[in-house]
Amino acid sequence: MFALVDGNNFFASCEQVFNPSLRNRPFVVLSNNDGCIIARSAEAKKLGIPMGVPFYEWEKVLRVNGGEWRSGNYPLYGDFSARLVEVLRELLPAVEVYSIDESFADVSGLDLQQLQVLGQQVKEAARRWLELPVAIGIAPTKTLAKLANQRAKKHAAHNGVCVWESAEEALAEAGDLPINDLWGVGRRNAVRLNAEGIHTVADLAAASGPFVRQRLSIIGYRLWQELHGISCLPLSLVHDPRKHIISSRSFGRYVTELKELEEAVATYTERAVRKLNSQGLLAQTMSVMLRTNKYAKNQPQKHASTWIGLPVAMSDTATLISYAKQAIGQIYEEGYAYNKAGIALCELVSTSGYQQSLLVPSPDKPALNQAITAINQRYNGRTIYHAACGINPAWAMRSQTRSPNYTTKWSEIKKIQ
Amino acid sequence: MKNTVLIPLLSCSVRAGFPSPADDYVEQRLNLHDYLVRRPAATFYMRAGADHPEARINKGDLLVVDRSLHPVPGRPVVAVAGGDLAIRLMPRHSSQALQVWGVVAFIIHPTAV
Repeated sequence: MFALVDGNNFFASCEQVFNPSLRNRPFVVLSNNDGCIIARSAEAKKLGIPMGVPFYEWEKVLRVNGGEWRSGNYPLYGDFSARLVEVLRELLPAVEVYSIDESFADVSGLDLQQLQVLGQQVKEAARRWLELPVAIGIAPTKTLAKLANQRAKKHAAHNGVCVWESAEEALAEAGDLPINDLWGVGRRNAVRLNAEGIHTVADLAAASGPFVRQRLSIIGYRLWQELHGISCLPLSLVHDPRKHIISSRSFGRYVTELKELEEAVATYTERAVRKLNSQGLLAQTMSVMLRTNKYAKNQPQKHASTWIGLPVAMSDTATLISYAKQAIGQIYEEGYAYNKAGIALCELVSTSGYQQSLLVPSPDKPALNQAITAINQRYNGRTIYHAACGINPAWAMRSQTRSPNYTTKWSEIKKIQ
Repeated sequence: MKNTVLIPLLSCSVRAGFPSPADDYVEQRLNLHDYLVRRPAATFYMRAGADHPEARINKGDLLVVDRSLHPVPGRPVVAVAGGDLAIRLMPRHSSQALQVWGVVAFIIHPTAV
């Protein structure tokens, strides 16, 4: 039996914890650059605001209805996510973190009554200790648990916890749902399934195994098995080390000068190296890209990228910055208004397993980098950074209304009277 | 649960000869975080923006706020008041309703600012 626990309106809920004035009203969280709406409170959903829409399209509706908004604050959400996982680990055996606000857990060996009680305990703990509303779906397979979780959210009768002891129970309650409500079925797959005469969850379950196996891929067949209560997706408790680390952002305004692009990629490189170091990895290749705004149809378009094979696996920030600057210089062309750039560190290897080359010395300066890391940890964030990143650059992201980092910066903890 | 675990090293390297008598008594160095934070997931830090003499809180004090503790009448809590969070004393009588956000578990006051 699997449980899927996930936060309701997670980013919005995180913002409301320290700010009671954001509760009980239409409230949304905005993406990087305050461009799109990436989270909505229940009241905002009632106004009809869809997910992912450009903020400017709905700003007036929000203003008129006493709404509020905040720029996304990922350090805050990341910290709340980690806290939620700690709470789950205290109450549930074997927790698999699936995304920033969803986790699966193994809840085998309990009867219906015990599962209901456990579900309510988890829900209450999240509310009491974190002020976060969560929904819990419990079913024999992960796919059904996801479906149960959706039902728990949408139907008040479940009181936030929906338990299906069997696939039959699941299909009895959720069989009528459209096929694209199923985890793993996107719009394209839904169209394909509809063409085969499969429109609802019950339709897919009712199809024969061999038919599904033949007409839909192995993934479709696994989905079919999961719908029938045959678990094909075990709990994965080991975190895979990352295959590559990407660092890129859209700019706050269009950038035309090479110097500003160099500052941007230097900053992204710094950020990526921090992630690299925290995972004890080295990179063997790097790629750099830049792009104009593909939605600005009247402007000349350019999307370019290039690869750099590094002479030796490394994690030295200064060296990687100089490679990144060289690379951006190669692909840059005058006359374009760029709106995004990025770097990726690829072919990652572990520092412990890696054989240093005898011919090419590693440029890594562990003592220097350790000193920089220690200073930044002690004095908050980016006290020391490479000058190549630019000082207060004009191209940096707009985050007009970001709430303070209440739980990750001493200088920003909540001040109360 | 902590992310890092400190494991005490033996006080001397192992070699032939007599080991240090202290080796049998090696203990973990005292860690203030263990004392202050009972449940890290439910603990938040806040700064007192004003004096609250009845709660022995001075402006500027660091407050350790634990949402997993039960409020005690007469002791300081963080409450929801007027659309924001505020320091309050837990009322002695239930007739005075208060929306409790968390319990002030510790007040940290530096001797020099």
